[in-house]
Amino acid sequence: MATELKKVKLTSSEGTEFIIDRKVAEKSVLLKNMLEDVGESDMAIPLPNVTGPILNKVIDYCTHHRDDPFVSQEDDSKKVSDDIDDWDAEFCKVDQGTLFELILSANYLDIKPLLDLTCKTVANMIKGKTPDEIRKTFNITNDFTPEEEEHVRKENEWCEER
Amino acid sequence: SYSCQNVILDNDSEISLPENFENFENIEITEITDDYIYLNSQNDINDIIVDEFFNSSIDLNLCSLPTEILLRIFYELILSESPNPPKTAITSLPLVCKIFYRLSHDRIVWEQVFISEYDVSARKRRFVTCNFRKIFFQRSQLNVDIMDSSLHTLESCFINDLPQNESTLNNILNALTCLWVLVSENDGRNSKKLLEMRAPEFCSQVFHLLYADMDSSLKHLACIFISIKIISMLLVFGLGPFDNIVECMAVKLRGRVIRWDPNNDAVFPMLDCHVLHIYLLYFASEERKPIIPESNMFDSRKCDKWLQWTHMVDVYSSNKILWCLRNDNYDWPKDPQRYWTGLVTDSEISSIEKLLLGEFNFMELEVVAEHSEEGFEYLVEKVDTNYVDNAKYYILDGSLTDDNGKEFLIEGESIPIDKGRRVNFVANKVWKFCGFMTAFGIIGRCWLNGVNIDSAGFFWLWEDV
Repeated sequence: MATELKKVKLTSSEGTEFIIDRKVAEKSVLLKNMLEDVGESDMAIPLPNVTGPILNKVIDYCTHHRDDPFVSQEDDSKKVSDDIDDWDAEFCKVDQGTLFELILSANYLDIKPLLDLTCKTVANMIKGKTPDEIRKTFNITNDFTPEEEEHVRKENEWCEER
Repeated sequence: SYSCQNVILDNDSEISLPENFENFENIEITEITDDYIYLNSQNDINDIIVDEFFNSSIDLNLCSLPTEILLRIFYELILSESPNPPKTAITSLPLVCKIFYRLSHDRIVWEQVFISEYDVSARKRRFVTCNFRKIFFQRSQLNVDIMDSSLHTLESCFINDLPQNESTLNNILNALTCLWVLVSENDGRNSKKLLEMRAPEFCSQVFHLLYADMDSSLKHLACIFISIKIISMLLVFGLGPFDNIVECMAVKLRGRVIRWDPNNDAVFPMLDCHVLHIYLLYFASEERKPIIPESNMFDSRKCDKWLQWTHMVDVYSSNKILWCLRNDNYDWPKDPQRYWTGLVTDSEISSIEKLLLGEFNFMELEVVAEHSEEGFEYLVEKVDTNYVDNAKYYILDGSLTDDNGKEFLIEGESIPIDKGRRVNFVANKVWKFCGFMTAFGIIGRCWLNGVNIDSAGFFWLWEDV
């Protein structure tokens, strides 16, 4: 007889309720600890820092990776950004606002693999770009004076020395 | 609007929409039951919820993320450029804006990146402060392709009988100095890096190409010296196997080994120590267990002002040759071990004559005027490092036992010299042992009173754990 999967109720910042498998919820260290502390309960866990659409994306991620082994801070061997698999790459094809919200949510919910993935995605968006291209990509204002900019350039001249 | 607000998304998760949610016209609904609405497109509902409840009000940009997140992204950026030099992180990012400038100089991130690739314990002990940003960048400039290309250029000079271009030797020296720092700070991670970069093969090729001309210039000598030292230390760590490399080198080094007179104040006695070490290791490889990587075996570098310029910039600029030739001091153990094991060979090194079990007492001797050497003062001068300086004089006594159980009483002394530490002692008042202390033990020649040094044998004692 199949055992019924335990469900967990989450409430996003605007009040949307999500009912998901406990195993999926436990991909978040924050939720895992909360559930362990609270024990069996039907009460919804409020997540005031996560909006519904973002929580939905996070659930997508956790559902897809529900069977992945737990990665602790310590045994996280170095993985380069090129290691992002196809599903994860597709998952991260979102607008910048959503991507940054995902980063914040992953950080808040303590989902290290998702935080790594989203940070790597942003890193890949920066990689190989000139300062101007980075500014353009992320809509950043150059707040250096020409003198300051020149000074920074000079500071880095050693990179070209060989 | 629907009476039911329970929605099943296609990731099987279930959501309850807020009561005032009304925007259903754009949602593709696949099934409606009394309790649930089934949707086949989760993305649609995302957009709709965003439109309805947030009115696309998300106003986040990269710079508005918390610093801890930005630092994490920065860390990933550096790693993403590996194994190439992190050019975007070093040259582009600081110029974007002031926030990114601060980010790109974060000492802790650079240290973490450095630690993820290289051993750091020895470096931290050696230098009070380390510019990990700079050192990481410089180290990542070295790779197998660059090393191979330098070798090919050098090789083609020999094949075509062309004069060796200054820059060719400089490139070789750059690579060698980097490899030497890696091996001298090895605690395991660096050895992986060294093997990835095919350091044994590179050093061996440099050795074979330049050995015949090693005395033609300081640069040639430095290249040979450092190649030999790297191979010697890789052997200490038991890295390999590279038997062919060692065999070819040992054959070539034979002449130098046989001629070595440790009584003389050789300009670079450590060169000959390493030469002999390679030679003996090849012939006595079965006798010797590798040393477990542990960089504190190099911890007792003498306080040497010449080395201080390496403080922040590693060893890639300024006077590389001097550094290469003077860094012998890295081979100088801090506290001499009391128990030693070793071997003695005949002058031909064709057979190992004895195994020795040694118990040495290194008794610190108060420095008296007659022991002071010219320039000794600078050895004890306080400098800005974490090093424990070992400029001590020791008188030595103890015993050696050969493999037949015969015991020899020994007496002698251990003296710091400008480029190493001498260990001279006499066993049973007739056998003279004259050698140098290195990170891999005491190595030198031994002979009976009245015998010519040319026919002296060799000894090598190593720490008996």
